[in-house]
Amino acid sequence: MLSKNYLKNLNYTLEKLNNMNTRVAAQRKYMRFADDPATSLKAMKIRKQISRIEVYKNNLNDIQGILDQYETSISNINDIVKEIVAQVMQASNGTSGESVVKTVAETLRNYQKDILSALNAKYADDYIFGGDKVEGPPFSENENHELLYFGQEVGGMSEIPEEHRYVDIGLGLKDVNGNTTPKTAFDIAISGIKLLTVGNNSGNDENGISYNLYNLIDQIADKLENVDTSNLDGYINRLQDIAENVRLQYVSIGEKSNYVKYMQDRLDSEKINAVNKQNDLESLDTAEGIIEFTELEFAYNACLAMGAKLLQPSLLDYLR
Amino acid sequence: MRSSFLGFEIAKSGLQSAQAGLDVTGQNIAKMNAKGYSRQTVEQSTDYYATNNYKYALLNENKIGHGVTLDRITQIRDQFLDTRYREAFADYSRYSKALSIMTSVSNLVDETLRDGLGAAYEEFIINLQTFSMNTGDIDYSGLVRSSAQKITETLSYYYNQLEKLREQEVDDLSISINDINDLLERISGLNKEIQFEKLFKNSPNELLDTRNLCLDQLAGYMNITIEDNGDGTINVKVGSQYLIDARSDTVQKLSYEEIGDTYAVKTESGELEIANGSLKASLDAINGKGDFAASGENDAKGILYFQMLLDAFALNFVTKMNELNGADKPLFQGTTALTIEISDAWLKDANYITTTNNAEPKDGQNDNILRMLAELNKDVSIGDIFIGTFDEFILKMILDAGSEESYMNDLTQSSDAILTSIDNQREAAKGVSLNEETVNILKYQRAFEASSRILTALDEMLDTIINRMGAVGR
Repeated sequence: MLSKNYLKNLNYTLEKLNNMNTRVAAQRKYMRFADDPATSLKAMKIRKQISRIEVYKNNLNDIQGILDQYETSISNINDIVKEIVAQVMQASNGTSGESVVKTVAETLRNYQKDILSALNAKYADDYIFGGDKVEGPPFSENENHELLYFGQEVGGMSEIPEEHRYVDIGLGLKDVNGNTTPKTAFDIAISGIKLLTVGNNSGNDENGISYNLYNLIDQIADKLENVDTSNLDGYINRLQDIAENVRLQYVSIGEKSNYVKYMQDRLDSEKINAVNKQNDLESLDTAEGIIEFTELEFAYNACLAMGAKLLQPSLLDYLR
Repeated sequence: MRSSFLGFEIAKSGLQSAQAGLDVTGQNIAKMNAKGYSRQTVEQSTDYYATNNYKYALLNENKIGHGVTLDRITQIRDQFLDTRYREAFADYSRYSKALSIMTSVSNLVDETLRDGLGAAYEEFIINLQTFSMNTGDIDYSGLVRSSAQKITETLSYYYNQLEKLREQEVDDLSISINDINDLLERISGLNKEIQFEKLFKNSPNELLDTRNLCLDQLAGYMNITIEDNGDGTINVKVGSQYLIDARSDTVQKLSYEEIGDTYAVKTESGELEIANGSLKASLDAINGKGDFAASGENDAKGILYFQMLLDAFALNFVTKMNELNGADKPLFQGTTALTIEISDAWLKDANYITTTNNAEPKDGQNDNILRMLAELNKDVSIGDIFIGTFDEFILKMILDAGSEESYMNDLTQSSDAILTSIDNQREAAKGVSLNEETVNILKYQRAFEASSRILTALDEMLDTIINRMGAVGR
């Protein structure tokens, strides 16, 4: 009985010693889910949280890249628009000669090309001004130098299409009947038409003046080519309105950029918190582990020493 | 008048009893470590003075005993402790068996140190997220498809491993049943031998030890109750069924039968009500449907339960994803964990996954992928037993296995402690103590010496009478 119990206790102590050894070596509080289901469950949830934070951070990095590209392109267009306003103002003041006016017209045509290439800017093979589409190029012009959006005349659109391209950045993505709920995701679609257009209409107003920059330039260029500098004021006013709009868009990209940075910072700190929590749950404090290991080792040695005295003697040993 | 040789007889009986005591002590020491051995003692009683021969009758006041009679050699055994031991042993066998099975299950689904279904699912979500920003790009849709394939493969791998485990348990069940049938045969045979020996007033101690050992083993398999018939034979019952009925000399053999997707252990008289022991653990593992069990079915969280969890996951996941991909455009085919796979159409074209609901899909449009992500974050009802997201369901499965194992571990340890304590009590009564036996050697040796001395004294007395009396002057 004694020896049976002794052996059992010895094995138990040895098993505990072995477990502790594995845990200290692996620097873990537990090796299997069943060792500590409650802690493991928490740790699994944290693990998922960290994995999702990583995903959102990756998405935000991509968004940041696209926003930077927007910023560059819109800044380009902004500069061009400023230049155009200056040139057209100069051409319209009536003191310029015919050749100067014609040169301005030619310059305007060149600017049209520059705007077109800015509108067809790419980020990592994706066209960025195509609204929800990245195929492209989204913009081109017809033989009358009028703007086409995926082959469709922009001037002929009754209203500007609403386009969204959402990205999940951890705002609690929701969906109703196949439509993403706007506040639960980040919209990275930027419509090139909207950028160049004031109001909701991309056609012409009652005076035949286009609401759309590209077509407007075309109209001005047409007039200047014919050296017709009369009634340019309306066109210039529209030009200035559009310049204002581009500037506003430029500023709003900056705001979006700031928001993305803020979200990145927030996710960074969330991740630090989560990783700390994971360490608390999973990692074994080395000092604590070694102390516990030493205690168990002591118990095992004591058990062995006791065995030598315990198992030997009976009355038989004391008889002659 | 006292008969001349009365003292010789008394001394002889003393010698005999000391001899017998020494023999039994020798036997006890020899079998000290033999499994199942119960310590034996010599039962002796006073031989009363009784005679019908008045010639040698002592006067009333001088009556003395006639020495000692060896009644029988009995074993020290406590029926109550035996019963308690067998109950505790059935508990321990059940829980330790269940623990070993649950450890295998939880090893399979555990993702503490390595990746499994949960990681595969998470990878799928991550790839879907990346794809949402790169729709139309075949590289990214390929990634989504390969991680979806990983889910299907993991599901069928898990299912197959569980199936193997279950087959092993069925094998194990049949081995156990053979062993039980052997034990029943042996017990029934021993019943007859013991009855025979008892009839001739022989002590059947060694036979009793062997039978008790068999009963101990049998108790590890299932919940047995034992009835003593008084003639040395016993009946063995499980629930209300007699496995051994010594009165009619019948033994009911066990067998198992597959009924639908479950197994039952039965005898010729019907299904056995097994409530404990390792057979109970085996049956729970093989038949346990856990939360899926209808009334009357085994509701332990057995291997079957985990297989059903996998099937429920597969079915709901496939249905959901196919529905999200649009009518008649299935991403997956198959409805169970074992048969689920990527649909042929998706296998041919990674871009088969619907990215947008626009009539003319263009690269970059991702509204349907966002819808998938949003829907996968939503709670769904899975298999009528769980409401939550798919990853929570996987976590539930891991938790079920882990906490069941942990629970079984606790039960094994506590039942082991109880078993040890009862075993110690039983050993204290029936086990051989070397100290006690050594004292007995001395005791019987001295008794033998003393009885011999009495004989010598008596011999010398008679010598005085026979050889020296009336020899005066000779």
